[in-house]
Order: sequence, then structure tokens, then C-alpha cells
Amino acid sequence: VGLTERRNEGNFNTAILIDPAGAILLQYSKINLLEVEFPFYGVGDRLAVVRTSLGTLGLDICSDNYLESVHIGKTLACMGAEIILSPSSWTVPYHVTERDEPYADKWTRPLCHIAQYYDTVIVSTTSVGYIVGGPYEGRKMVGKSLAVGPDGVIAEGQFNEFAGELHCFEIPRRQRNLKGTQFGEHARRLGLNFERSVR
Amino acid sequence: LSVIVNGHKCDIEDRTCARCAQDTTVPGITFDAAGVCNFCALHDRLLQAYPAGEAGRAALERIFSRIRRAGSGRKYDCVVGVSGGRDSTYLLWNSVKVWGLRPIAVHFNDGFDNPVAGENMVRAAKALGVELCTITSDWREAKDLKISFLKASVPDLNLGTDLGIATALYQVAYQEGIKYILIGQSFRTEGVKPLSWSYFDGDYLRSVQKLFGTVPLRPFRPSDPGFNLGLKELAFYTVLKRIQAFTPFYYSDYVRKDAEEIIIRELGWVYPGAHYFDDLYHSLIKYVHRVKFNIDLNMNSDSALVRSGQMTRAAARERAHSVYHIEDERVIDLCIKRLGLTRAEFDDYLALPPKTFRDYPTSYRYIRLLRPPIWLAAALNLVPGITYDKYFHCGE
Repeated sequence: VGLTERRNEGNFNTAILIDPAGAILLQYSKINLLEVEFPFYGVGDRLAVVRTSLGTLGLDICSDNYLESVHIGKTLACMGAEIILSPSSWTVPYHVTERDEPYADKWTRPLCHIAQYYDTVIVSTTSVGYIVGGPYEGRKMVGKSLAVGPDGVIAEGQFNEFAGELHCFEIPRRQRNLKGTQFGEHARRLGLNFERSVR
Repeated sequence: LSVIVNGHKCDIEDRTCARCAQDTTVPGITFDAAGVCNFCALHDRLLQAYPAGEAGRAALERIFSRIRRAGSGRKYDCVVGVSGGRDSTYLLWNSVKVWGLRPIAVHFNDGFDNPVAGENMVRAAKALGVELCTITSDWREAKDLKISFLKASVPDLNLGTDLGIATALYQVAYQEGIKYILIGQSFRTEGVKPLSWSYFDGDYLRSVQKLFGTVPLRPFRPSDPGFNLGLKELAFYTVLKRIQAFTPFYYSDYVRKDAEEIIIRELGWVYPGAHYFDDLYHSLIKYVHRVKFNIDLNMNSDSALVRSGQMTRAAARERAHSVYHIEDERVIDLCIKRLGLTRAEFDDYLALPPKTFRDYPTSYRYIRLLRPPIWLAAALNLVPGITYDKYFHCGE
């Protein structure tokens, strides 16, 4: 669940993961805030994962998975997250239609990058609807939530700017034995060039 | 006795048509010796021009043959305008299942879409295997236009959306090289609105926006017309590109109840709550029309149902000038808030003296000069058949 969290030190763009009994398993505040969020939210200061019967789960939020901040997802994967849940509000310009591919570079690419090189799954659900008011006026949200794994897109919602839809799909649990620096070696074996990325 | 017409007191006799439910609050209404109104006479003329039954089926088949021929070898042969309401959903179903056409469904989202209608469109398109293309307005323009028309103090509060629907259909037809647009209108169920209750003119929209708007409208491009559909742009699509608009229900005894049964059964269609309530802004429009202008568009469309035998005159008269149930305060407040207005600002606009399109620069002068070509364009289906009657027989 995504929400605005009020703490003594300010407001935060926060997501929580709740178990069937109602206990909060994870509470995460967004780190890679957009500039338009600066007046409203403070920067989150921690990442966490939780071990559950479904596997080890991690949480991040929307632009935490921008191409320039994939280190957040990678860190969650290195902390053991088999599945990263990422509630989002992906927006597109008003003129995008069902005939366009709105997310190719912006979302599919970084999500697949994290999933492929760090052997994890990312499930990112997004909103639908016409945006009125605020800095995103003139844009809209069109659904097309994504679930990606090391082999690419596992499931994708439909383009829909009118109403939310529930999609059910299975994610097989992966047998992962990677720890610590093994993640980097695994990524290097798959072709990730660290030297180039830090030059 | 005085009657409030378009928000102004008129010293005319308060009178109701002997056949339908319309009364003297309808601008331009006249009565014959038998007490039957000119809108009923227009209905009878349209029945002659667009016969149902065997003649209607033959006329439709001729049109569909042309559509199929023009679309041969192409992905689509026609554009079907959809809103998620009853009429357009039934039109889409007919296009695919009965008439064997290959449509692309086009919807215009102007920011007030009823989610129930939205789900109807997605569900129908999926069930029929039809591509749905949603053209969304730029809210900065759409919002400003809606406020401009409130400031202009005219009844045409939804001209932006109505015009946006038309441009969206032409846009996709142009982009796809499609020559035919199908529209789910029927004079048998909707009637014809008096000109000063609903005046469609892109140049009128531009002049109101120029006078009251704060956001410039983006310029016309054939593949992105936005809110531009004046006489020049209309001529571009209809004369130069020869895109034609048809209203197939004109040629059949379209019965809403029967249509509903079919689309509920075949497409899982859900009633959005009222006619036109696929667009939530109609909640606010109904309110403004009633309290400011004494306009009852339901009386106008109910009268069409009376003429078609789908409603009794007594039932229509009982509903006339009543508060329609979609005038929901919560939805009206939502509309006001969505426009970024306070209730006090909205009430100030409501208190402005009522006006009509005649108080603003429009193309009406040219439209009147173009009477013969418009008659011809309607006869040739270059524009919807009712266009001519709308401009020249409904309170001109």
C-alpha cells in the first residue's frame, strides 16, 4: 500500500507491506524523490527486506527504479529480496494512446536490468486515470503494470486509463544461492561492465 | 403568463405540444392547427428521409457495401465512436456482429469519464476483438475551455467535449486512411436539440476561448486537431479527405430497451446511471441548465421517445422540468473542484446574465450562406444527416 506518512521530522512518500493478520511487515520511505516531491516529502533513509512464506520480499517505490537509481533495487536484491514490490504512479503525456509503447525505455529497461543481473523479480503496479491539478496536469496514468524476472517480462497489465484491473499470475520461486560479492560476479558473467559504468 | 426561455422571461403563452412533451420553454417551437409542434413535423420528415424496415435495411446495405469496398485490403474499414454508453456500445456490437465491418473504436476522454463507462468500453472492445484507441484531451486546454464557457454564460457548456469527440474521430480516420465514421445517434431516441440549447461550431469555441480563456489552444494539425474544428478544418476532413460520417440507427427502428438487453447479455455492459452519464460533467450541466436557463434536454429526448412509441406522453410530461437524478451534489462538487474553482466562484458564474451563441462571434452567418451546400453535404452523408435540420429547422 502506498501512502503519505506523517512523522515528527516531516512527511514521507511511504509504502507498507501488510500480512494477512494485519501486521506491518515492511515500511519503506522513498529515496529517489522527484524534484516535484521535494516540497512535500523528506528523503527515506533505509532499505529492508522481510522473509515470508512467499519468499524474501523487498519494497521500493516508483522512481526508485529509474535507470540512474537502479542501485536501490540492486541493493534490495543483494539483501536477499527474491521479489521486489514497487507501487508506482507512472505517468505519460496526454497524447499517448493504446497504440503506443509508453514504458519501453523508462520502466521496462531498468526493471529488466535489475532483475536480469541481480537474479530477482520486480512487480511494479501502477495507477490509472486522467490527472487533474498539480505539476502533472496534462498527463495521465494508463496502467500496464509490470512484473519482470531475469528472463524478461513475466506479466503485464493492459493499457487502461479508465479503471483498475486485477491480474493474477504465478511467479515460480527461484533457487538462489548468491550472497555478497557473488552478485557482482554473477552480473559480470552476464556481461555487466562495472568498469565502464563507474568511469 | 410568461415563460422562461433560455433564462429570459418571454411573454408567450405557456403551451405544450399535443403529440410530444415539449412546451414553449423550447426556443423556436411553433405549433400547427392541431397543436403539434414543428419538432414533431421534423421527426416525420426524418422518418421519410430515413425509412426503417426493408427500405432502411437496403439503404444500410448499400452504405456498408461502400464501407467494405473502401476498406478492402486495409486493417480497418470504419471508425466507430464509443463512449461506453448504451447507443455507442450497441453500434459497436452491430458493426462487428451484424454488419460484418472491421471497425476501430475511438473514444475521446475529456477528463470527466465515468469509470463504469470506461470499463464498458474496454470490455466491449475485448469481447468483440476490436482495437480501442483513446484520444485524451490536454487537461490544461480542456479545463480552461470549460471555465470559459461558464464565463461566457451560455448553455453550450460541453461544446469542448462534443467538438473533441468529433476531432478525435476525424483524427484517427485521417491517420488510418479510413473514409467512414459511424456514430450511434438516432433522431428516433434523441430527437434534435434546439439550436440555442446546443450550438456546434468550432469558430464559436475559438471566439469564446479568445474572449475568456487563459490558455491558448494548440494549433490544428490533421493528426492532432485538438479543439480545432471550424469550417476550414471541417472542410479539410470532409471535402479534401472525403471522410464521411454516418448514423446507421437512422435507418432502423432503434429501440433502447432491446439494445440494452443485447449488450448486457453479449458484452456484460453496465448501465452508467443515465443517458449521457458516461460523462460525469453532465451532472453539472443539468444543474446549470435547469436553474439558470430553464432548459430541460430530457424533455427534448423524452419527446423523441414519445414520437417513437418508446415512452408515453404522460410519463414524459411528468418528468419534464423535474430535477433529474444525476444532479447529484457530490458529483457537481467534484466537477467544480476538478475545474479548480471554489463553489463561490462557480456561483458567481452561475449568476451572470444568461446568453446564447448569438452573443458571440461565430460562423453562423457563413453557415446560413452555405445553406444549399450543407443540405447537399447532409444528403451525401459527408456530415451527419441531421446537420442541415439542426441548423435550419430548430429555432434558427
